Order: sequence, then structure tokens, then C-alpha cells
Amino acid sequence: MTRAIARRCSRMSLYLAPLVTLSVILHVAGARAESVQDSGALRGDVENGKALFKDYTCYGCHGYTGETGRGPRLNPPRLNQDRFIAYLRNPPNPRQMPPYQQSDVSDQKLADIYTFLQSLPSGSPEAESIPVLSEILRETPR
Amino acid sequence: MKTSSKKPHDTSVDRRGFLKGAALGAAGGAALLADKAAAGAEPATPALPAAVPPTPAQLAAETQALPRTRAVEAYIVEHPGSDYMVDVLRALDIEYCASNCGSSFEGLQESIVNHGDNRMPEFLTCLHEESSVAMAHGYAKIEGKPMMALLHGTIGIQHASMAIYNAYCDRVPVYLIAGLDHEGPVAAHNATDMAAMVRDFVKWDHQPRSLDEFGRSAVRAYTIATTPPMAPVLVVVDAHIQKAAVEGNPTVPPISKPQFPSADLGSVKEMARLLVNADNPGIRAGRAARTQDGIDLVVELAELLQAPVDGGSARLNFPSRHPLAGTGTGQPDVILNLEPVSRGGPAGAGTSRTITISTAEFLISSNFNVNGDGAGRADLLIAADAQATLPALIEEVKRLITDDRKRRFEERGARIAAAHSERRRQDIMNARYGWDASPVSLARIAAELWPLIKDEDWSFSSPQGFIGGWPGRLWDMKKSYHAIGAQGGGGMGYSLPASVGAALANKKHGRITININGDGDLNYAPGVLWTAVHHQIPLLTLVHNNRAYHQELMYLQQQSAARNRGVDRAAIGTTITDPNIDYAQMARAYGMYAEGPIENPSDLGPALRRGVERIKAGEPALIDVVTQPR
Repeated sequence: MTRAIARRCSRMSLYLAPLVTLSVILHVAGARAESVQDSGALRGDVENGKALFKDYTCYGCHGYTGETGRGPRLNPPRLNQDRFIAYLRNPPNPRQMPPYQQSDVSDQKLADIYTFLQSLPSGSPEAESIPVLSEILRETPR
Repeated sequence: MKTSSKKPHDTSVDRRGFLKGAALGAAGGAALLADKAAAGAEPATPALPAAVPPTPAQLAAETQALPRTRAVEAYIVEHPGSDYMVDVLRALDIEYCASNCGSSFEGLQESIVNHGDNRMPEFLTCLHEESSVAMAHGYAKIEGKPMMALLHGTIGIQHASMAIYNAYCDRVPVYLIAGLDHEGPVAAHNATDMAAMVRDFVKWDHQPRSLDEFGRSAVRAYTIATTPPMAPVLVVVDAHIQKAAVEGNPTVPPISKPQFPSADLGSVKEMARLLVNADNPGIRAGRAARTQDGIDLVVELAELLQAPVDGGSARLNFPSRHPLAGTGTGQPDVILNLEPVSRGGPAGAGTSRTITISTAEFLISSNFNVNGDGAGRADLLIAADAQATLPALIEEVKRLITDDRKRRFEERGARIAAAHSERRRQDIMNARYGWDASPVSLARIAAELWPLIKDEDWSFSSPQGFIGGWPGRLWDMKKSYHAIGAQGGGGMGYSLPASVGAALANKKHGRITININGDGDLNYAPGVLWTAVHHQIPLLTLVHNNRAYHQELMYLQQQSAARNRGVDRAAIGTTITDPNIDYAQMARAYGMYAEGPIENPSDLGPALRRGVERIKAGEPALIDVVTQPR
């Protein structure tokens, strides 16, 4: 997908807002893992994305590894790059998720952040494999 | 083999004999020196006399005081007024006096340490008045009674003011005494009306004009502070009254504790009718439970109704693992608010009817928006103390429940219990996210702590809002001291000193205390670390070191986005980096055992274990953990 199409998608996102919202719901619920990379996506730079993730204080709500905090988990990203960018341009609830506008952050920068998120290893083993969590689970009646 | 019972060089002497010999030797030596001076020459033979008894004049000089001069007689006050003040404080059962020393109360301080033998109250050395008052705040939330903070003049009151405000907002009794010395070294330390600076956020203040009036004032202050809505009180004591000799034989006034205000019978009946007839009632507790009895009463009411309890975060109002803990299922049709925090909870969205029992309307402030909209909007608003009202409400609910209603309640309870169990399991599952990440996740800190403390008698002393509520989500909190809420007024600099105060109260019960302290909060007045070491107060402080005022970072990020000016400068003024602060080094400088900064999550568990061992041995410890923001 070209950058122009990505921008068009961004403009279309208002119309797609309900769909985006649904996507987010599914994302949070972890019920769907869609393709994370389109063939025409911008090529991102991991190191640049890592720096941008910090500079733009994404870690504030998503944690330094995209797995903790108040915001949805981003590791691994469950939206493809186009929809990731579209979501950041027009988040459904800007009071919770600040809109990242083109004038502030380019598509390329968002692609870098996206690529950084893709590169992150998961630091989240299964709860049952963590002894202290497993023990707390045993204390919890079904 | 023959043995001798006599040792050849037996150097041991009993203490009495040793002292007697020493006295005689000294007297003999003195006589000898006198003789030598008189003779003006060394004696021909230097043999010492075996023992020289003191002369009558020498004995008189050593055992009888010389008459005082008039100046000395005027200077010495054998029975100062502050001795009586200590007697009153002791009668009020005030165990501790936290204070940063000051000349305006030197009379009272001297009486505490000498007349009172530094017991009841014991003088605790603090390095900042804000620490003194916040310690008393934390102590009261554990012990259920006030501790004293002693403040020095205008400057001490102003240093203390933030902590007083927090306690006022949190409805916690703190017993404040401030010294006033018009003849003191610095005129600026005095004021015509000393209490004016904090009058808007103390419940009562008084400046007694005589020692006798101090007695009445001190008792009245205590009664007012400990009657709901509880709050700080301030008694200003003039240095002259502290230092002047007691006249007559003043006695401690009788101490009466009033019954707490509870709802009238008609209101109780109406509440019970609404709750029993409701299809899906919900209970929301703010500062309802002051004591374990309060928790037990909320549990009893909830179990009778099989209604869910949202216990909030201002106190432990309800056991965290009780099947009815949480918000239940569906939209409640009747909401019972018990001492709601600030806004009275969501006021009856949809068709909900709201009942509120609150003392907020009794604690008004002419200047500050302490209680927001007070008890909030309610269909039935009852100005009374919730805990004091619950016994009557429970009895009335029992009377109204029929067998048919009971069956329906049990069905409802089963649904709520299932929802509660599911939420708990989900919380545990969510705790795994970022488990192996660096910086360390807050869920991991809480999870790793739990097995180390769960078989101990433990207390958690810090707010949970900045740490994702993880202790409450993972731990079995059921005692009133398992969680004691937050600042009250949202003033930072609370967590560390309040935790030291809480740990002080827990200490005599053999209870260990855990404090997960934000780095921003810790930097306000870290000198209280020294107080914890100096007085050997066993408190484990884990620094939630996210190197930021993180809430503000997120706010600034939002504000920047709202103006479309870029969010890449939100860290300016909101982060605490460059240089990073080494909190373990800071704690060591105050003499405390410390570890950190811990960045590798696998280092956390062993460090926590060592920290817990330290506090179990009776000393404070600090572990600096570099953490995820939230």
C-alpha cells in the first residue's frame, strides 16, 4: 500500500470509526490476530521507532515494551500498519488516546514506531508458568 | 590434687564495694593534696594512708546543698506548667509526639523528656513538620486514635500545613500543638492569631490563656478530633504558660467520649425497605469503615442482601477476596453510598435510586473545596456516620427479609460471586504482561511480594492509585490495616511519612509494614527515612521509580495533543532524569539498609526477600526498583 493510499485511508477513517472501534474492542479482547504487515507498507526503522516511541511518550500509557500500563497492549501489534496509522490519526476517544496529527508526526515516523513494536520480544510468559502467579491462581476459586 | 579457694589475684569486687572504695580513696586523696599544699613540700615517705575519713565540713559540702542565691532561685522552676500538660497528654493516651524541635515549645519538650521520662508521649525526632503531621496521619489510620505533632510557631505550622490539609480531607484525627513565644528569639515566628493559617482545615483550634484552661482545651480538642467526621485539631500553647510554675494542684479534666451520630429510626426503616425490595442493589463504600468492626458490619449487610460492594480505595471497607467484592453485575436499581469520597459516587445513572449516609455535611470549610459537592446528589441523604448507623440498618434489614426474598438474594449472590471470581482470575492473568520486561512491571512487584508476606501479620500503607491497584487485585486484604488509602487531599509527599507513622503503630503489634512509594512523592521530604532509622521503625519501602511525575506527563501529553502542537515535549518538566536519582544511596546516607536501583526483573525477588527479612528483624529497609510508568 502506498503512502497516498495510507493518507486516503486516514481521511476515510472518520467513516470507518465504528469499524476501528470494533477493531480496538477485538484487539483488547485478544480475540483476533490479523495480519500485521501489508505488502505495500512503509519500511520502518526499528532504532528510529524506538527513539520515537520514547520521544512521543507512547510508553506513558503502554509501557516501555508495549505490554503494561493503562493503554491497550501493543506488543505484538494486532492492527496492520495502515490501520495502526489510521487509528493514531483519528482515535475514537481522543480524551483517552491523543490524536497524532500529520503536522506533528509523519506516516514514516509512525511506520518506524510500528516496526519497533513488531520487533519487540514478548516479555509475558503464561501466568501458569510463573510460580508466584500460579500460586495466586490456586488461591482463587473458580 | 589440693586446690585453693582463694584466687591469687582476685580483681573482682562487688559494685557497692567498688564505689565505696572509690569514694574513700577520693576523699583521702583530697585530704592528702590539702596536707601537701599546707606543708609546701613532698612528705619524706610517700606511703599513702590506708583510709582517711572525710571531715564533717567535707561531708556537709558533698551532701547538703548550699542555699540558692536569689538569682538562681528566680531562675529555677521546679514544677512548670508543661509538666501538667504532659500529665494531660498522658491521660489522653497519646503515645507519641512527632516533632521538629523549636524554641517556642522548649518548655513542653523538656517536660516530655524529663517529667514524662520520654514515655506517653515519646518524643520522635522529625526533620520536617510535614513529616511529623503525615506520620501522625498514618499512625491514626492504623491505631484508630490520634498521635500528636508538635509544631514551632508560625514557621512550623506553615511547614505542616500541607499534611494537615491532607489529614483534614481524609477525615483523620491528628492532635496538633503549636508553641507560641512572644519573647522568643525571632519575632516572625509569632502571630496574633496563630491558628489562622490553618483554620480552614482544622476542625477546631484554641489558644488557652491559662494552664487550667489548657487542660479543658486539650480534652475538648481530643473529643472533637475523634468524633466523626474526624479531623485534625490545633491547640496553641503560650511559652509563658509552659514555663511558669504550676499554681495549686490542677487535675486532668474528665474525658467523655460521645456516641457517634447515627441515622434516625425513620431513615433506617426507609433505607432498609428500599434495599430489601431492590432487584439489584449495590453498595459503594468510601471512608465507611474506620475500624475492623466497620468492615465486619459492611460484610454483614452485604451478605444479608447478597449485594456487591465496591470498596473504593480510600480505606479497606470490604475484603478484597470476598465473593461480593466488586461492582456486581448489571445496572443497580438502588445504590447505597457509605461515606462517599468527594462526589458521592455516580449518582444514580439511569433508574438507580441513591441513598447516601455521610458526615460530609458536618465538615464544611469556608475556603477550600475539601468535600467537593459534599455527600453528592441522593434521593435519600442522611447526615450521619455510616459505621455508627450500620448496626441499626442491619437489624432492620434482617426484620424485613422474607424467605422468598432470601431465595432471590441467594440467586443474585451466586451471579455476583461468579463475576467476582472471573474478575480476579482476569487480574491474575493480566499480571503476566511485561513480567520479564525491564523496567520492572508493577504487577510483578506486588506478585513477588505476596508469598513473602502472606503468612505474616502485614500492613500495606501507601496509596494504590499510582501503582495500578495491583496489591488490592492480587493480595488477600481483609483486615482494616491491610490497606489504609491515600493522601486525602491529593498532596504529594504523604506516602513516605504516613507509612513511617503507620509502621510505628504496627510495630507494637509485631506487624510488618510495606510501602510502595512513588519517586516523586518520596522526594518531598525524604528526611523521614532518618527518623525511621533513628527510632528503628520496621518499614519496607519499595521505590516505584518511574523517574517521572507520571500522571502529569500524561496530562501534558493530552494537553499538547488537544492543541495539535506535538506531544514530543511532554517530558519537559514532568520527568526526573538527567541525572537519575539513586534512592538506595539516598537511604544509605540516612543510615538505612538499601538496595537498588533494580532494573533486571530477575533481581527483584531476592532483593524483596532480603528486605522483608530486614523488617522482620525490626529495622527499616528501602529497595529502589526502576519501574514501568504504570
